[in-house]
Amino acid sequence: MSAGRDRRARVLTAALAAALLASVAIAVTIGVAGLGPLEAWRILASHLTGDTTADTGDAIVWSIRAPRVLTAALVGAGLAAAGVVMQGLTRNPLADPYLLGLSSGASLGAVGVLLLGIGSTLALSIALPIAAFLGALLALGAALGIARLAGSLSPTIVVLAGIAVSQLLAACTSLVIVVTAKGDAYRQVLSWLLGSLAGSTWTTVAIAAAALALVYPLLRLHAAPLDALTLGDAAAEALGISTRRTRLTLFVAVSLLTGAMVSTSGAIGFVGLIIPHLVRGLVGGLHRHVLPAAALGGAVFLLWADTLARTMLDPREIPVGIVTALVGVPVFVVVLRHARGTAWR
Amino acid sequence: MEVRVESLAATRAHREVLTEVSFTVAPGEIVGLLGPNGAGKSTLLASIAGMLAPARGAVLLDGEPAHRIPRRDIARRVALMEQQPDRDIPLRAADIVELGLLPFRGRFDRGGSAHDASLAREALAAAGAAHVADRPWTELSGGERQRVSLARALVQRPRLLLLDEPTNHLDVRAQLDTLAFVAGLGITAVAALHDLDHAARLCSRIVLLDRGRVAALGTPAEVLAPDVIAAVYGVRATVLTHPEDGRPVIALDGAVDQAPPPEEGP
Repeated sequence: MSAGRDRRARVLTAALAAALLASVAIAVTIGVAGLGPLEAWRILASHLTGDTTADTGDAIVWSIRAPRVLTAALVGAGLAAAGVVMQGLTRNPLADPYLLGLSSGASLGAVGVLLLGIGSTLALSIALPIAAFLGALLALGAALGIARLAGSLSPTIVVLAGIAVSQLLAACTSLVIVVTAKGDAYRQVLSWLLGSLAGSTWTTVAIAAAALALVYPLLRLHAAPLDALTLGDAAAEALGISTRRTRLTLFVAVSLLTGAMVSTSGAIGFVGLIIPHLVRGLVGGLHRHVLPAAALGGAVFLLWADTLARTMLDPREIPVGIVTALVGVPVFVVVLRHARGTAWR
Repeated sequence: MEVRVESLAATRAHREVLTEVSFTVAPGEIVGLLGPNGAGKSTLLASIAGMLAPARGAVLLDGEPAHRIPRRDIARRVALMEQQPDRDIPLRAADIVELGLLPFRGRFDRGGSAHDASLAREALAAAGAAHVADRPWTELSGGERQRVSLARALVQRPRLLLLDEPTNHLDVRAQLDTLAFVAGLGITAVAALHDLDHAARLCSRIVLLDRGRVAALGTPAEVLAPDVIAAVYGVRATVLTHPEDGRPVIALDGAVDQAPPPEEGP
């Protein structure tokens, strides 16, 4: 029944929201430094009330863990929402910002800006997401352009073109870093191409939050047109949707979202692919149900993936993209197997 | 709704697909578009739906140029039942029908209201598909999908219904059901069809297209003549008259460039 399914979507969304709050509260207590949960929460509370003490514990929880946990959640939400919209726009269950090269393009844009050596933190935190956005837009344009040259915007051709663009731009990113880097180039390449939240600060929280606050409501407003687009372009036009304008608007929006997220954390894969599929399997394909649940699910998923990434091989960190793949792919296989007929295949 | 197609030329991918097409559809009339593959039937439907601006000439819906009408406005008057896509749609039947209400919804209306749901259910019931409302599209048979698409078109409360090969991929019963349903609606309709008998059964008049031009225009009995069918389709046909309702019944005998089978002596 329709009402039952609406309720199921609402329950799932509420449950995920609660899980997200709980996850944030728990994840800030987890870390290499042996701080008890109560101590960690006391430090957070002290900042909320303005009654702080400047010690190591405070620095770890407030300046390192809290921004990192929040950045992970925001980036996860953004990437999952971007995945949902990419899949809807291209009617391609495989479309996601990582697979189609948007993330690689964004990485290249960000690395390019870093080369300029902008000194001011403020200027850099504005220039970085914008360059990443332009890189993502360029990558998307290239992928769709190549697909069109190949004569078709069919799912297979678009994915092939996207993979080609993605590989090319990832190679360019690596090349730029290896040629120009002064420090540990190897590590930088890894963190841009496989993603890392190790550089999270309150600035990255602000960037990711601003992008999400700007783009998510726009995506949500387009939930019904996205539903209509799944029927095909002619059907969508017949339902009063201007398909060209809708695609253009949403492609730019998704590039902006992906660019901002990648500029804070590098290219993290699988979130935009797995989470939307998982959510569709649970609540069906209506975008007004999928979008909020996927955003919250992506936030919880990446938050825990990053918590694993920073603690699993203590004291070393592993790129979070490795964790999202290690955890995500088996989950994905199970979903694909069980979601016959309900999910989008 | 009255449709006037006047000296219409339309291009797709820089190729002229329609040339000098003229005909009118009177309010309440059902007109069939026939013609071989590539004759321009789908392009003509897209032009009437206002999705394709004419290269020359005009399509007038109650006197208004179709392609100038804003998409949302035209969607409140004209519904298109397109050819069934062969890919999966990750929605349930009732969701798809509710999308037909999109042109009537405010910008910030999130949809999913009880009112929308009941309208969708009514339309599904009218199309004889109430029982599939909660089933996913991927699990529906060809006939059920067709009914769901019809219900989506109905919920738009159109004054003009455009149908692109509505009987494709259906078994004979579902084909007849679909035709009878459309005929019973009393809505002005233009239907692209492959089956000549279906056209004779459903339509008051037929536009026969051949390589983008109107090869014949008139009642089924006028258009579906053996010489016309031979010239346009390259098929020899015997046209009989149905003993009950007098409509033409077309028996296709073979390609014109093939010799007829030798007659066996007694």
